[in-house]
Amino acid sequence: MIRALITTLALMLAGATSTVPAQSDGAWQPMALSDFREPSQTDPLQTLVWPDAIREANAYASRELKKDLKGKNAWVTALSARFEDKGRSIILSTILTRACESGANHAGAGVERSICPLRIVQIDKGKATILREDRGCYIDPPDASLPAQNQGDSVQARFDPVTGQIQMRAIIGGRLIADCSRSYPTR
Amino acid sequence: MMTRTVRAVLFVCGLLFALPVSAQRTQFCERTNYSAQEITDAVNASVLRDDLKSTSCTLGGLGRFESGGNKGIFNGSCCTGIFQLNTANVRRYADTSREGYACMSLQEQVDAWARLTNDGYNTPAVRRLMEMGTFDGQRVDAGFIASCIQLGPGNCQQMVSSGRCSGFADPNGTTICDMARAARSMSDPNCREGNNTQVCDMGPGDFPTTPVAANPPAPSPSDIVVGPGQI
Repeated sequence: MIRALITTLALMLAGATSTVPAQSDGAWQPMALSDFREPSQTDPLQTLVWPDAIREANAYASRELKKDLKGKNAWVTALSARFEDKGRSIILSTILTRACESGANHAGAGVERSICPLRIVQIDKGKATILREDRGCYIDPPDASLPAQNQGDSVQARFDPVTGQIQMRAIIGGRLIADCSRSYPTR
Repeated sequence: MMTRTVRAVLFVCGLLFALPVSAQRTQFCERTNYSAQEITDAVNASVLRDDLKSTSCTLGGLGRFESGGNKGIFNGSCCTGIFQLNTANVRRYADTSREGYACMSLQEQVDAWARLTNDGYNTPAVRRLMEMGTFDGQRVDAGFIASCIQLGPGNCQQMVSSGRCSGFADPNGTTICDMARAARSMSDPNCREGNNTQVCDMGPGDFPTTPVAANPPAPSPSDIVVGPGQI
C-alpha cells in the first residue's frame, strides 16, 4: 500500500521535480548524469526506470564487497534525457552497472565508452511503461583530471517531435563513436 | 630470455611514450614498487577463479607490465592502480572513486580486479579462447585470458573473430597477444605459485597428462579386476 502511494507520488512529481531536464526542441543535448548513492522516493530514475538495477547493485555491494551501505545505495550512476511529447514524458537512460561491457583496463588506454543497459520509459497520465530495453553507451562526464581532448566528451540525445523518434550518439575525443549511435521510434 | 626481457622493456617504454601528450599521469597516495611475486601472492589470496590461479605467475607479470608495481598511479585518462582498472570498473567492482581505489591496499585492488576478471571469464570471447588452448601460435594461459579481459571483452571478441593477434589493437598498437607476451616476460623467473605446484608457464589449455598416464596407481586388494572376456 505504502509502495503504491510512493509510486503514485513519484509519478505525480516526475514531471515537476525530475532531475532529468526536459528537452523537446530536436537539438542534440548531452544526457545528464545522476548519482543514485542518495536514495530518493521521488526521482523517477530511481523509482521507475532503474529500481531493479539499484537493488541488484546494493546486493552486490553488501554481499560481495562486504560494504555497509548505512541506508545509502551502492555507487550507481546513470545518464538520462527526458522529452515531452503530446502530454507524455519519455525518459531515455543508460546505467553503469556490472551488466555493462566496459573498455580497456590498460596503462596505454584512453577514455572509452561502456555498453550498458538502456531503457526508454514513457510516463503518460500517471502510468509508467517501459517502451524499450536495449544496450547503449555510457561515459562519465569529463572531470578536470582528463586530457583537454576529452573535456567535450558526452553521450547525447535528441527527440524529433514530428516523427517521435529518439536518437542517441556519443562523442569521445572530438570523434563520433560508431557503435554508440542509436535510433528508436517511440510512437 | 635476455632478448625477451629487452623486448618487453622496449615495449613498455614505447607504451609510455605513446600516451596522449595531454594525459597527465597522477600519483595518488604512496608510490609502491610491488614485485611480480608480491602481486602473484595477492592474486593467489584473492577471489580469482582457481583455474586462473594455476598460472598466476604471469598475472604478477601483468601487474608489473601495467603499473610497474605502483598501485597509486592514474594514467591520466582512464585507468588506475596495479592492474590499471578503468574508472567504470573501479566504481563497479570496488564501489569507489579512482582516488579511493588508488589508496586501497594491494590486496583490495587485486580483489576488485579478480571480481572483474571472474565476470569477464564468462564472456563468449574468453570461453572460445579457453576451448582453443592456443591462439595464433600463442598459448592461452592465465596471462592471455587476463589480457583479453584487460583490453575489454568486446575488443577481445574482435580479435577472436579475426583468428589473428592483429585482429584488434588499441590506439597505440597494443594487441592482446603483445600484452600476454609482456606479462610472461615480466613475471618473476623464480616465481612460486601460491597453493599450486604446477610450473608457471602452464596454461588452462595445457592440462598435465604425462604424470597421470605414466604413473598409474598400484593395484589395490579392493580393486575389482575385470578380464577382457568378462566385458
